[in-house]
Amino acid sequence: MKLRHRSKGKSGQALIVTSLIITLLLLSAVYYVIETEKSLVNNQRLIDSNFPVAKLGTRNTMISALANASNHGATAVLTEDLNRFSSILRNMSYGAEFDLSFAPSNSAPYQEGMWISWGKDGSGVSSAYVSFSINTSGPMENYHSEYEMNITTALHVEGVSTGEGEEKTVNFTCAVYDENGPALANEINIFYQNQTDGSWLSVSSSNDLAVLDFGNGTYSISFHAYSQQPVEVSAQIHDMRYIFVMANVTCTQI
Amino acid sequence: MRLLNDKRGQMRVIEAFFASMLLLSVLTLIPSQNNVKNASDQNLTSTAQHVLLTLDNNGYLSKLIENGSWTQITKCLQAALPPTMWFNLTVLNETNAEMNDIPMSSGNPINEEIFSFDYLCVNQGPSYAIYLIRLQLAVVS
Repeated sequence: MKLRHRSKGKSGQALIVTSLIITLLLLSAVYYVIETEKSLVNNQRLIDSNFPVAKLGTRNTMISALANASNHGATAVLTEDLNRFSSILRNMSYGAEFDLSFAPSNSAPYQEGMWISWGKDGSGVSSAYVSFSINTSGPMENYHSEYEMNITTALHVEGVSTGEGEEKTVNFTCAVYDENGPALANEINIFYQNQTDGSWLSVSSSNDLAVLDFGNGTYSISFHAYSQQPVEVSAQIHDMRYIFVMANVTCTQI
Repeated sequence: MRLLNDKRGQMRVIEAFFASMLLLSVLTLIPSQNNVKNASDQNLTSTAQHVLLTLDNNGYLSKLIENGSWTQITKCLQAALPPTMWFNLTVLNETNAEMNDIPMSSGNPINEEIFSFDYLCVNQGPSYAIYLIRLQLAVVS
C-alpha cells in the first residue's frame, strides 16, 4: 500500500520533467531559427553589396585593359584580365554562387571587344565594349543582371597652316572625348611630317609651341614648322586614365 | 476519488507551466534585439561600401595603394567616416599577403563588436592588379 502511494506521488514529477524537456526543445528550435535567419540575412546583404563592387571592378578592368592595349599591348589582355577578376570575385562570394560572365563585342567595328582606329582623317578612337551577365544564387534570393560597358577615348583634330615658303605657322584644335562626353587630356604630344624624307618631327618649345587649354577637353595649339605644303600633323594624347589615342590631319594652307 | 483528492503534483505542474511561459516570453524579446543588431550591421555595410566606392570611383584608391600612400589612405578614411566610428583598413594582394606595412586605423577599437567588409579594388593603370581591401568598422556603444 505504501509502495502504491509513493508511485502515485511521483506522477507530478514526471509531468514537470516532461514539460521542462518540451520547453528546452522549443527553446533550442526557436534559437536555431533565429541564428539561421541572422546568418542568411547577413550573407544576403554581403552578396547584395557585391553588385556595385562587381560593376565598378569590371569598369576599372576594362579601363586597365584599354590603357594596356592602346599603349602597344595586345587586345587579348581584355579577356585575360576579365577572367582574372571574375575568378577572384567568385572566390569571395560568401557561400553563394556568384557567377560573372562576359562577352567581348565582335560586332563591327569591334573585334575581341576592342576598337582601336587611329585614322588620317583627323579622328582617332580607342574603345572597348563588353556585355556582362551576373547570376547569383543566394541563400534567400536569386539574381540575374545583365549590363553593357563601354569605355572610349576619342580624339578629333582639325587645323590649317599659314605662311610663305617652307616656314609655316600651323594652327589646329584637338577635341578629346570619353564615353560620357568631353574629357581632359593628361598629356599631348604633337608631331609634323618632314616632307623631304617622310620622318615625323616632334614639336617642342623650339617650334614656338603654344597650347591653349579651354578646360572642357578642347585645346587650341599653334607652332612653327619648316615644311612644304600641306603640313601633315599628328596629335597623340593620353587621357586622365592613361588611355592612348592619336589622330593625323592634313593642315592645308589658307 | 483518490486521484481527485491527490493534488500534490498539480501545484508543481502549474509552477512548471508558469516557468515555461516566463522563458518563452523572454524569448520573444530576442528577435527584437536581433533586428536592432541587423539594422546596425546593414548601416555599417552601406557606410563601408559607400566610402570605398567613392574613393575608388576614379581609380584614386588604387593609385594610393600602388604608391604605398598608406598615411594618405588613413587621412581619407578619417575625413570620410564619422568621428565616432573606429576603423581599421588592411590591403591584401592576390595571394592574400598583407601589403600595408603600417597600420591604417583610428586607434584602438572602442567596441567589441567589430564589423568587417571586404572590397575588391582594381587598378585602372596599364599594369593590371587586384587588391582585396578589408575595412573593419565599429561604433561607440
